[in-house]
Order: sequence, then structure tokens, then C-alpha cells
Amino acid sequence: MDEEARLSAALQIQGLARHFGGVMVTNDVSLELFAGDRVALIGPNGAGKTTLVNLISGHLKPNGGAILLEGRDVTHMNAAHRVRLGLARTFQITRLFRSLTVGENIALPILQRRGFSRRLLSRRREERAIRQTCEALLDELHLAQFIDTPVGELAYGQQRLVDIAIGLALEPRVLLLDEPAAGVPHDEAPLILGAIARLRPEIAVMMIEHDMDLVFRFARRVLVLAEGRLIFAGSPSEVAADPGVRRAYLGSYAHARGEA
Amino acid sequence: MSLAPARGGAAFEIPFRSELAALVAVGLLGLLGYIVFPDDLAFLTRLISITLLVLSLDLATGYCGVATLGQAALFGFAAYAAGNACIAGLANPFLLIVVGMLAGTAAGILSGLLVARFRGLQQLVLSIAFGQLVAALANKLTSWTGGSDGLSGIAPAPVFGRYDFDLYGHTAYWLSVGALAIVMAALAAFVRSPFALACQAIRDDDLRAQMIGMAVYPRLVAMYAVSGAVAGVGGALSAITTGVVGLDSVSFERSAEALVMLVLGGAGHLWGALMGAILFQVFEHYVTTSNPYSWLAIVGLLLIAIVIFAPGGLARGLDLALGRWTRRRA
Amino acid sequence: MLTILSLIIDAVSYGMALFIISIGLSIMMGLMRVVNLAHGAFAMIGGYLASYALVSLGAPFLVAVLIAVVGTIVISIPFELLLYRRIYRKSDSLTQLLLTIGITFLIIGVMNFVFGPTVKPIPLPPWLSGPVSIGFRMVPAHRIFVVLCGALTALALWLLFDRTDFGVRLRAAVDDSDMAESLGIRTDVLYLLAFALAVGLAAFGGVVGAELLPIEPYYALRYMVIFLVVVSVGGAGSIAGALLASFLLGLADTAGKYFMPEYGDFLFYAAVIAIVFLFPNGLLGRRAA
Repeated sequence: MDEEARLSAALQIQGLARHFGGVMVTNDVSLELFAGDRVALIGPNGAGKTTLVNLISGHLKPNGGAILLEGRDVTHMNAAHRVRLGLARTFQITRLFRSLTVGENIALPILQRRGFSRRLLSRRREERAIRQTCEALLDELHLAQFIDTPVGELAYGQQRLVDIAIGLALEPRVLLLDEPAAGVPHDEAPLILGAIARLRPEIAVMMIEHDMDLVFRFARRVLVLAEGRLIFAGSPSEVAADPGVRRAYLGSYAHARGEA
Repeated sequence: MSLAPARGGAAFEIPFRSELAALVAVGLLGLLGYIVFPDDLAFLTRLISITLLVLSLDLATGYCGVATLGQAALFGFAAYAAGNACIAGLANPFLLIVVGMLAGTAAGILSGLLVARFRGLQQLVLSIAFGQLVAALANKLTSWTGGSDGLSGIAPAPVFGRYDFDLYGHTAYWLSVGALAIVMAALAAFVRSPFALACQAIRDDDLRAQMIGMAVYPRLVAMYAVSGAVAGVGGALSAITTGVVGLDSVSFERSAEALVMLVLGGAGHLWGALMGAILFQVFEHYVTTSNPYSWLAIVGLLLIAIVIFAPGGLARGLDLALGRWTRRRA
Repeated sequence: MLTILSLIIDAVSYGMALFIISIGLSIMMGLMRVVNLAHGAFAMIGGYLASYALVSLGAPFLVAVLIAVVGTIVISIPFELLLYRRIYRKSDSLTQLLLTIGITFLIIGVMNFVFGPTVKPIPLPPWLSGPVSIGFRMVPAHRIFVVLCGALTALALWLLFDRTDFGVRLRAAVDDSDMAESLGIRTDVLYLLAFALAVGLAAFGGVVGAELLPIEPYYALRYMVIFLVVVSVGGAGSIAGALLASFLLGLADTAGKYFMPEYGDFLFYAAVIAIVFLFPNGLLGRRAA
């Protein structure tokens, strides 16, 4: 990666901290994401992964530290504003606009992105253009045939894909995926994996995951969070060997890989 | 936002199809009313103004998911505004409707700023408090509202300089039908807009809406402005056509009844709201009891029945009965 | 100076009356997640029953109160079984709103049909009618009575929730009803008992506070907002919050009536709006909904 790109990290977290009651759920966390990054955030249950993502996306206010999106300080901005600046995230539990069709769900972020969502009247020509864009996006995810189906009628795995598609439709610089494969039936998981593999190369993607297979296939870098602290950062193959990481998981990961 | 597929191979597509349909449909309904109730045009005229209130409530509650029990405040405020304007000398009925629309918009914005700020119980409480506050003001500011006696002596000039507001109510009726037709056509276009789609998304999941970058609060206030405008037209019509404005136009009962009509027809559907309003008021017309309390009990039973047996209102029932889940929200 | 004292006495007793009525609503909101707009209607039924018992049956005061509370609970049970059950916890706010407004309208209509549209008096027994000396001033005995009832209610509820088995189960069900069920707690019975408690308290408050909130058919609508604001601002399920909110609103209303009677209503609702905006997380920092 050339020097210039290195200097302008897509996302920079500096000394982020957050406590609940007396417990530090996020303890002096610093990290950087660059354009094109594929980072997995792992850690034992209760490590504070979702909290960290909530802090980054703006759903939770930090008690200390800073968050910079493409060099811009967004620490005190609300979630919607951060989205408009290029930060998108998905949720562990799928949240979609239930009474609308798949097409309408995708159209909204597109409209939002292009500044049309405040239009009080729409023209037929624009409607057709938007529809074409939706069709193209859905095509990539093999969901094009569902464009006019109410989103509630889709299988859960497909809904999850729509969720990710909404994230993509926002054309973000940074995409945070919170356990994208969670709750997806086994036979539908390949759809999710395929979608993630096809994410645009310039987006910086950070994914929380428990599924180690997915981590190994997706990530070029792995961050390990335990008890609110970042205890490791490195390549996927280095993660398994690190004694600190093994301690954090109490050997459960090592056990799963067949190394007692 | 209508994402319906373009009719493949259509050589000629009528522009403004749904808007024209709205104009025609309302015109036909107006004609129907004229034939069926020739001696009771005053009732029909009143029905139309209340229908506009219900339509405005549909925008706020049906399309945005904002549960409000203070909508009558917008209607009544516009009625008093138009009434006062007329008494002060502005007699052109069209201008009076514009006055009502502007007053309704202003009240709508104020109401939206209060009611859309929070969700849940607080939202409900604020909507009721706002409505009651306006009602209390109406009661006290007797120089503007006539207090409990009401504002009277509203005498608009003839429409187009020719058609007098006579005792038979023809002018009043057709003016109201015309106003309703135009409003329905405008709303038919409006509910297909990206803005309306965004509001529906907010209704479904406002957190998710924020997560695609929408500023929820300003959007809701904007919708309230539109809602206020529609209520304002209704309020102005009510003042012009009846010549009086009473405290009942800002009452809690008025807000609650509007909600009943909306739910009966189906919140979130324009035509549902229209049909619900018409059906309810016709029903009321035939079932009028001399005792307001008995009517209240009947309305209560009706509400309970709707909630238990037909939660989506008649519109939803029709949708299902016709076997198609309509995508057009009009 | 004397006016201020009268004002405080009236405000406190009014606040206590609000508290006794509203705490039931707060419990329902906290436990069953139901916004019961018909709560005031049940308080009203209590008032009507007591009035009937006192005036037509000539019953002694405390017996009349008992009749009112028990009678209202009995009347409310069918509503619970047939209607309220459908909207516990899971339904959306519009549905709850519509159903409970429907119930309110129905009760108003029926009450008027049975008892007529006039204000129903609740004649106080001799030991409550006169003034009582509190040292430096004479205070109406009734006001003292209301304050004592309120304090006793708060204490009794606190003991109930904190010290009894029922209270423990109740709080478990509030936190996680699925979990509570899997632990063998019969949530449907619990809800029924909580409902009865809420309604009983409402009726009690309706009778005891009738001097301050007169019983007439539109009672249910007239005071609906006030009860809702107490719960919204005080925080659902919070006794301390409900007390604080009740006093605040009692003060706002009474002060309005004392100093600016022509604008009393307007100022009160303006105060309500201000309070909700100033305390978006409730008075004690806990959201109501």
C-alpha cells in the first residue's frame, strides 16, 4: 500500500473508552481501517465487540477517545450523520422495512445517497432509473426476482442479504458487519459468504464473527478483543499461535483447531 | 415511490394516471352524493371537511406511524383563522381556503415539532397536551373565537363572483367536492414520492431509517406540515360552508373520532381513509341519537370491534379479499 | 403567606390523589407494557359505585370505599380476560391506543346511561368533613386523609414489591417474562393479579380524591392526560418517580388555579409539555417507554 493511502485511513479509532456502571466495556481501543481492508473482529463472548461497533456507528456515546472517518472527527456526530459521511453497518438481528418491498428497501438508501429522498414529487423517468439500479444491485446477489416481493415474505437468509444489500446501496467507505451469518440456516450460509466475497475492493470492511471458517476465508487481518481491550492484531495464521489469544479463549479455539 | 415495472411495450402511457383517476373518482362520488342526498347537502358538505381531517391524520399516523390524538387542533385552528379572515374583510372563498391551508401548515409544523420529537408514551402525551392546549386557548381567547358561543357571521363572497352560498347549499357542496378532488389528486401524487416512501420507512423502523442516513425528526416535521395543510383546507371549508366555527372543532372528541374513521378505513391507505371517513359519517347520520353519551358508547364498541376483528381496517380486508397485495399506496 | 400554605396543602393532597390513581397505571405500563387510556375510566367507576353506596344505600364511608374497590375490580375482570389479554407486551402502540380508548368511550356511555350526566357527590362522613388543627393552622380533614392514604399506599406497595413473594415474581416477570415463565411463574395469573391491583388502586384513588377530581361522565377523558403524564414523566413501575411526578403536576395545576384561574388549563398543559421536554428520560433518569 503506498504511503499516501496509508496516511489517510478510512477509519481511525483513538483510545476509545466506554463504561457501564463500574465496568470498562471498551478500554482504550485504538485501530485503523484502510481502503480495501478486510478485517475480522473476534473475541470471546462478552468481550465488547458489539459495543465497539455501536460506538463506531454512533449508537452509543463514548466516555473518551476519538473516532475519525477519513480524517474527519465524527466522535460527537449522531448515527445518521455518520452514515451520510460514508459509514454503514448491519445488525446482528436483521432490521428491514417490513411493510415495503425488497425493491423499495433498496431504493431508499439509493435515493438517500443521491439526495432525492426529500423529493415531494417523483417523475416516471427517475422511477425507472432507480428501478434499474435496484435491479442491478439485486442481480449481483441473485435476488432480482424478489424486487416486488414484500420483504417479510423472504426466507431469513435472503432477508439478511437484503440487509447487506442496503448497506452496499449506501456506497459506503467503511462497512461494519455485525455477525452477518448469524441466525442464517446452514443451507443459506453460502449466499452470505458469496455476497461478502463480492464486496467492492475499495470499501474498508470490518466484520464481527464467531465462525472461524468465515474468518479465515474472509479476513486479511484479525483483531482480537477481550474484556474491552484489543489484545492482538495480526494475520489470521498468526492469531491461532498467539498465547495471549489462546488464554483469552481459555483454549477453546485451539481445541477447535485440533491443537490441544 | 412507485417501483412498479414499466408496462413493457406500451406505446402510450397516460401521464398523471393516478392523479386523474383521483379527480374522476371524487367527482363521481360527489355526483353520487348529490343524487342520493339531494336535500341533505349540508350534511355531505360537513362530511367532506371532516374527511379532509381524516386524510390529514392518515398522513401523520398511517404513513409516518405517529400516534396522535391532537389532530383536531390543526383543523380547528385553520377554521378559526379562515373565519376571522372572512369577518375581517377577506371574502373570496378561494383565498379563504388558502388562509386555512397556511394556518393549518403553521399549526402542523408546531404540532410536529412537539409530537415527533419523542416516541411511545411521551409522543402520545404531547399530542394530547397540544390538542388540549389549543382547545383551552380557543376557550379563553373569546375575541378571536367567540368562546363557547363560537365564531359566527362568516359570510364568504360568491364563488367566481357568480355562485352564491345559498340556503340549498349547492355552491358549498360543489366547492367542497372540488377541493376534495384536488387534494386527493395532489395526495395521490405525493404518496408516490420518495419523501412519502422515506416516511413509511421511518414508520416501519425509525432506527433503521437513521442507519441509512435519514434525519428522522426534520422529515416527520415536514410531513406534519403537509398534514397540517390538508387539515387546514378542511377547516377552512368547514368555516366557509357552515358560517360558524365552534369549540367542537378543536375538541379531543373530534381528534378521537377522526382516528376511529381512519382506523375503520385503514391507516396508511389514502382511499381507505376516505372510505372510512365517508362510511363512518353516513353511519353516524343514520344512527344519530339525541344522547351524545350513547353515541360515544357505540363508537367505543366499534373501536373495540375493529381492533379485534379487523386490525388493518376495511382497506386491508378489501386488499386481501381481492387477492392481491397492492403495491401502490394510494 | 396563608395563601401559599393553602396552595401547598391543596397541591400536596391533589398530588397524592393523582399518585394513588396513577400508580396502578404505572404498574400496568411497567409490567404488561400496556398504555391503558381507560385507566381513568376505572377510577371513575370506583367513584360512581361509592357515590351510589353512600347516597342510595346509606352505607358508612369505609364500607362504601370497600364496595367501590371490590366492585370495580369485579367489573374490570371481563375486560381483562376478553380484551386486555390480547394486547399485553406484544402489540403495537396504536392498537393499544385504539382498544383502550374504545373501552373508555364505552364505559363513559354506560356510566352515563346508568347514573345520569350530573356530577356525583361523595358525601364525607363527619370525621372527615371538618377542619383539623395541625398546630398553627386549620386544615380540612379530608386533605389530611388523602395525604395519609397516599403515603400508606406508597408504603404498602413498596413492601409488596420488595418484601413479598408476589413482588419478586412480579419484578422477575417485568425483566424477562419468557424467562419467568420457564421458571414456572404463571405470568397470566400474575398479570391478572397486577391488573386487579392496578384497577383497585384506581378505584380507591377515584373515591378518595373525589373532592379534588369530581365524578362525572367525562372524568375519564378529562384527567386521562394527567395520569399518562405522571407515568410518562415518573417512569413506568417506579413508585418514587410516580410520587415525584404527581407532586409536580399537582403543584402545576393548583398553582395555575390559584394565581391565574382564567388561564389555568392553558398553563397546565404548557407545563406538561415543558416537563416532558425537560425530562425526556423521566424525572429519575429512567425512560417510561
